[in-house]
Amino acid sequence: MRSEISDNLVFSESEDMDQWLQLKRGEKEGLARIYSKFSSELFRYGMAIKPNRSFIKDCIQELFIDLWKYRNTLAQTDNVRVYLIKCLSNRISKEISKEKKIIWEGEISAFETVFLEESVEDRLIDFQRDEDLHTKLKNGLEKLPVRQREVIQLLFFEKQNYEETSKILGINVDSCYTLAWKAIRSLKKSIIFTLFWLMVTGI
Amino acid sequence: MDISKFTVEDFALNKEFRAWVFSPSQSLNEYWKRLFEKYPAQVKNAKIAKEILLNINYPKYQFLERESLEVWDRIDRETEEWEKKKTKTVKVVSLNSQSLLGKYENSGKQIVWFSQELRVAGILLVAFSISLIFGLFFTKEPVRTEYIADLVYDEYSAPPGVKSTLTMQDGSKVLLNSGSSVRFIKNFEEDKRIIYLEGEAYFEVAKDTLRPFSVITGEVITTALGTSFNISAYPHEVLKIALVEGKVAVDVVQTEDSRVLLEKGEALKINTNSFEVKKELFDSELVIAWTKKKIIFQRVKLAEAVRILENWYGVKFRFQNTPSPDLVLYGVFQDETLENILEGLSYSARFQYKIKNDEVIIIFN
Repeated sequence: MRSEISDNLVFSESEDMDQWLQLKRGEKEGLARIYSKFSSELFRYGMAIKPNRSFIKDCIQELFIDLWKYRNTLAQTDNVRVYLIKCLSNRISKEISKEKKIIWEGEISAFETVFLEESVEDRLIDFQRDEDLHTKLKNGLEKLPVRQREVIQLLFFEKQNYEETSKILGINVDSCYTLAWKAIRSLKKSIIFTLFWLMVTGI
Repeated sequence: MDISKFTVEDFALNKEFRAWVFSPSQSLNEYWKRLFEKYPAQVKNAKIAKEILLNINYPKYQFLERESLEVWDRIDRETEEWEKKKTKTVKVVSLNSQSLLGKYENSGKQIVWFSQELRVAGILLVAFSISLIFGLFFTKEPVRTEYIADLVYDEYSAPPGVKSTLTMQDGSKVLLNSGSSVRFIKNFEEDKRIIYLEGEAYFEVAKDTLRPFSVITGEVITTALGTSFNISAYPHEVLKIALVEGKVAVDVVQTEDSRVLLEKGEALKINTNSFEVKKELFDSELVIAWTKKKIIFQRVKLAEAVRILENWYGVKFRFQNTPSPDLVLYGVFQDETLENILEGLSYSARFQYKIKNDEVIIIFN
């Protein structure tokens, strides 16, 4: 574990570690401090992957309850933040596969609306540049499978490097790159028509 | 760097390229300019990658403070409960008579004006004396009962077939419909009275302007000051809040600035999936009929009627054949037997029924 994380170890905040140790000792205050420090970020991260407020809140709740329950067996972690994101990520995938049926229904309907909006005619007529690119990318992002959305979130928005990202997702660095590559390819496809116009008109 | 074989994807995922796109500097500009002079065919891919990077949305979902507090509240409560359960299972609670007596001695006498230490000491003394006395009759040494602190939360539920009335410490009354439950901090907190409800209940709130009275049903919070209202919050059904007397404010946690004030005679229906909110007038007789042992079906869907009857009579329904999907039921029943109700409904809804113990079989024609 220790050797896998390279440079960011040096910067791991001692304050986080204090809280972590407090938690491991069974002091509720440690849990509370970790919660107040990271819950907003975890929420934002969870929502980026699965935009369902009550679902994400439940995941966060369960995550912290488990932290407390299994505090004695918690690993000694070097980076509390990365550890928490990883836990949340695992929990979300687990819950999603558990409720696959229900969530699929939601995704299918979302897909359909997106699909309807994007008839070829629309694509050709409607090229309001940036705004269009924006919405196209937003739709593209929403259509990505959960894992791909996660990899983009981590690499682009959470500013994690490949090592950290692969650790959080529990895959090796190569697969991580492949996953990100696939995500970008889908995003590219979602805007290629608009971009074509951009290129032709030379803007 | 060799970018001759770079695809759009490679550019987008390249750290240096991203650094240049997001925070261009003199040196980075020159660096990439040189690269593109060397590989002019790659400019197109780089452009597309740049557009993707610059136009991709950063999802900004905010964790509202009250959401955060609410989630923490639940975490705190559940870990607390878990700790208690754990201590209970770890502790060897003996089942012999003296420990049992000691326990009742403990929970029965709530002498509030004694300090905690005195109470513990007193209880221990009582338990000890009892154990001494009983010890004379039993050869085995009795196990000392440990003082277990009061549970923080009180929970009451009315099982199917039963309705119950609670009077709270502050004088408020809660009438709990069958198959529903409430949970609240014993004696409430100093500055607020919060009740968690699942199912349906009728509240008569004792006036206390310093401590607002809130009922939490999932994402919806109903807050009152001295008032009477009915909340129906069954899973998978529209949430209904009907105000019989006074004034309440309803907040939906999910949406910001969504506070709705209800006046007497107004009701609020909330779709708990979409959080669509609809205000309407209600028929008070209809809403609080259940508190008077009256069942009123007025354009009620089959599923809802089944839920009502299952809870009311503590039975389970089974169906043979499917009814028409738009079947709605009508009927008013005052303190009736299940059989009479089914008999009454069977004509208009066209079904036959059999009651076997606590199972009802409905056969649609």
